[in-house]
Amino acid sequence: MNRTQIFSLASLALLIASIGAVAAMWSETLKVNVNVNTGEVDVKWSNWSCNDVGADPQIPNSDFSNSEGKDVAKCYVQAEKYDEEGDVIKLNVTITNAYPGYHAVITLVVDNIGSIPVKLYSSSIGEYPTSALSVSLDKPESTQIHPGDNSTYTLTVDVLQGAEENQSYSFEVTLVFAQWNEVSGD
Amino acid sequence: MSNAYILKPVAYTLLIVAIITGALAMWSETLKINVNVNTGELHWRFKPGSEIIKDECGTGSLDWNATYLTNGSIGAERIDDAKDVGCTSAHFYDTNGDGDLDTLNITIHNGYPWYYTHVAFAVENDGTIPLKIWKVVIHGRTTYEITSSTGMRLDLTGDGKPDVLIWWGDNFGKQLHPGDYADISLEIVVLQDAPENANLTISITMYAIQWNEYDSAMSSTAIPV
Repeated sequence: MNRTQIFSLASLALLIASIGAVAAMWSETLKVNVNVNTGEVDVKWSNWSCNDVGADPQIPNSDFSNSEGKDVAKCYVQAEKYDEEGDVIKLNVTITNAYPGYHAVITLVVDNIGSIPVKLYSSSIGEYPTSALSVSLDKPESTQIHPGDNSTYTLTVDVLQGAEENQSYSFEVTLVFAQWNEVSGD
Repeated sequence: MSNAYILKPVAYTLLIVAIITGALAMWSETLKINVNVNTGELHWRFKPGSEIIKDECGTGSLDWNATYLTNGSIGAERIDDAKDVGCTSAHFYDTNGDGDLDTLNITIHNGYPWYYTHVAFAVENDGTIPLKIWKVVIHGRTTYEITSSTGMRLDLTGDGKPDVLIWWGDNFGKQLHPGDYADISLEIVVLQDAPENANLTISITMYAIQWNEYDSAMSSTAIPV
């Protein structure tokens, strides 16, 4: 047995001794089990109504007048689409027999039915002929909705002089709500 | 070409992708509203078969004389020596082919000074919006009211002298709901300065306005006669 072999054997013995010492060392193990249960961002249309419940409303501060209280046009709001949980996520507003001066204000209530506060991330109104209609979406000062709370939006549709008779004008309004901490501002 | 020159655009691209991905990954929920606005129609027409003519051609009725005009009063009588000399015809037409009667042609045949005729007809709202009878344009003159005391004297020949006088039954401002109708009448008197053997044409256009704009339209308008 030469020197090299003797050195290798010695090293091996040292290594085995070290492992043995470690295995024999008194020890105690602590563990942490981590479960992350995520919440849910979820909103729905919970309530809706139109201001035309009798006499036709007219564009305020305009030359139009319905002092006689006629009920000529009608405004209907109803649920159009539900998600897989049965929550209303799309409404349908139908205004019939409208005419210049008609002023529809649709009140829309959004419920936060999730578990995360939400804020309005974006909103958009689809294309419509501006000569025929004036459309605006009024948002609350703060768009934040805590779980269990709700927020009210109003959609105003005015029929203008440029509207054509016997016409149908359609457009879509979209509101995207996102978790509050990803939306800057109110 | 240095490494920084190549790496900078790559880094920026990756940053943008990361931002977009982050935005796409953001938890969100979308609510939508479909809005459909269907407009109605403001439409009126002459009511078929509603014309009534006082001295209708072919009936042999005796002529009416505007006897009371000399003292400014409306109306006529059959004088003692009344004759069947002139007569009046009136017919509705659909000039634009939309199926509605939009024109009334009134023709006085063989008229002469003091010849008087009376034509009544009805207009009906066949649209879907309430309307009000707003104004009438008679031979280029717009009026929102013709009082019975004045009528409207028209110079049809351009010689500066009136040739006919028109009174209009005052239905201005009358409201017609869809399906409703209103009777309107006008009286025509041939005046002394009307030319002989002439074919005189009077163009009369009636306007209706949706009811909720009538007050405003009237308040912004002078009322000439």
